[in-house]
Amino acid sequence: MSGRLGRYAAYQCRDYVRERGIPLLLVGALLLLMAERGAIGAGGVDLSGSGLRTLATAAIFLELFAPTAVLIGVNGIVSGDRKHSYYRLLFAKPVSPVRYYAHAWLVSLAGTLLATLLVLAGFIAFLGSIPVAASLQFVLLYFVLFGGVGFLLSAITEYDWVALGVVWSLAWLLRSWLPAGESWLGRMVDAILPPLHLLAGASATLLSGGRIDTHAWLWIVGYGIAAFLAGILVIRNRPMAS
Amino acid sequence: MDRVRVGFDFRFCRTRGVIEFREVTRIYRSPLGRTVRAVEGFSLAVNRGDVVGLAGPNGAGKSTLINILLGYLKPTSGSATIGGLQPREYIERDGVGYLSELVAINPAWRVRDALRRFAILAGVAESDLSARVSDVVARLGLAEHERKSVRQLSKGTLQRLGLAQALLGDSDVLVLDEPAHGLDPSWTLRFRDLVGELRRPGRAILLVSHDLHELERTVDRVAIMHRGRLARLVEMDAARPSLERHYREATAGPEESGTP
Repeated sequence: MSGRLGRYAAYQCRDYVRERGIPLLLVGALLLLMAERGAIGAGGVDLSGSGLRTLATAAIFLELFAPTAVLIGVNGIVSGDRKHSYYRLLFAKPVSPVRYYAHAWLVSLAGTLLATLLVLAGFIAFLGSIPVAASLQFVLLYFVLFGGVGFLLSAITEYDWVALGVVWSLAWLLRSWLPAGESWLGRMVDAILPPLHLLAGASATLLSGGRIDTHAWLWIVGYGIAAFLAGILVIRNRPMAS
Repeated sequence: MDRVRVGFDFRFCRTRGVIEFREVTRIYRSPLGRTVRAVEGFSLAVNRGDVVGLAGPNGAGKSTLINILLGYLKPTSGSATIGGLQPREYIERDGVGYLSELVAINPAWRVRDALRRFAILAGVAESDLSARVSDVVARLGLAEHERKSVRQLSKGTLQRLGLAQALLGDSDVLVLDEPAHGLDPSWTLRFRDLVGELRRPGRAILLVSHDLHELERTVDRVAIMHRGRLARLVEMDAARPSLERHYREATAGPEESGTP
């Protein structure tokens, strides 16, 4: 089984490049252009050196690029096949949908990191040097958290990109309206919704050589993996046809 | 007429079917609580070496039944098995050759590329891959379309591509849903020959079709569905050439349709 899917992964990579990689690079190029023109940058931030200004621009750039990359990377990853009925012929073959989609998610993760590398190369060429490993780590964390949630939503509904946008917005809005320390409802909201707030500012921390707090790191990664596994459970138990 | 049965009773089945439906019922429930019984108490066995047709008017429950057989839907009650296993268990182990009524293949894929993908998923060894793909391309007359993308194919050619991918895995179970749909007369004739070629002692073939003449010429038995039930099971050697009459009688109306 894994041998078959291992061989098929080459085609999944090709699909990623055509359907997601190229659009992601286009979005990355547009964001780079905006950054180069000053539309994305450390406006209003008092920075003494141009190196720091570049890092601050990079931090904001990554905070915009990472969610977009994840949205492009996982949108329709399961629901697309349901919507277009592609699953009918695919899963009449001796293939487990669970493994097939887990592979597709991993291919998407790898492709997103590769596309990020190319975009970062563009950033360095046009705007100045930034730490590549730290930038990749930020996008990786974003993908594991937000991409795990996206995978779950794609397994549940064909309106997954809308649902992902709603979850993303709710995670920000409800946390600002119901702070965790002030009520039991706030604590519940904080526990249930994806901890996107822990990634806010994380790009700046990582780019400036700092580290993400271990508890926060575990919560981010744990939440993302739990959502991914929940998606696997949904795929295993929910009939493909409706 | 003793070989025309109404319904199906497993007590009369000497050998265990490769494909078995046992008292399958599927009820759809809307969010408002309305229910539709798409399939009700349906039983049928398709044995090794059998070519069995499944016919019935639109809405008779044929598609629901195929979805249940492939594990894409769960029955509300009863069971469907392939080779004695739950459908997904069997399919994820051995696969089935399946042609869906709607041939849904990514339109951006090229024909040969699509067949290579399906062959890999079907478990065809790398060393046999090109030969197997070339074989089905030749059998289904797809050579001149190999480099075209799926979106460029006519309905009939797409249907042949769907049939080609179903044959890649050389499966012991074939489920062909409206296989001649959209084929021109010459390919319809060729399809009849193909079904003959696909017959073998260890293989069970379930052929879903609206075309009674096609079924008369290609299958051993026809299960006629009406309103979700197995209305008649017609042995073709006994019934030929009167499948149409059986069909009319079986699907005439609720009061006239047989119930298992």
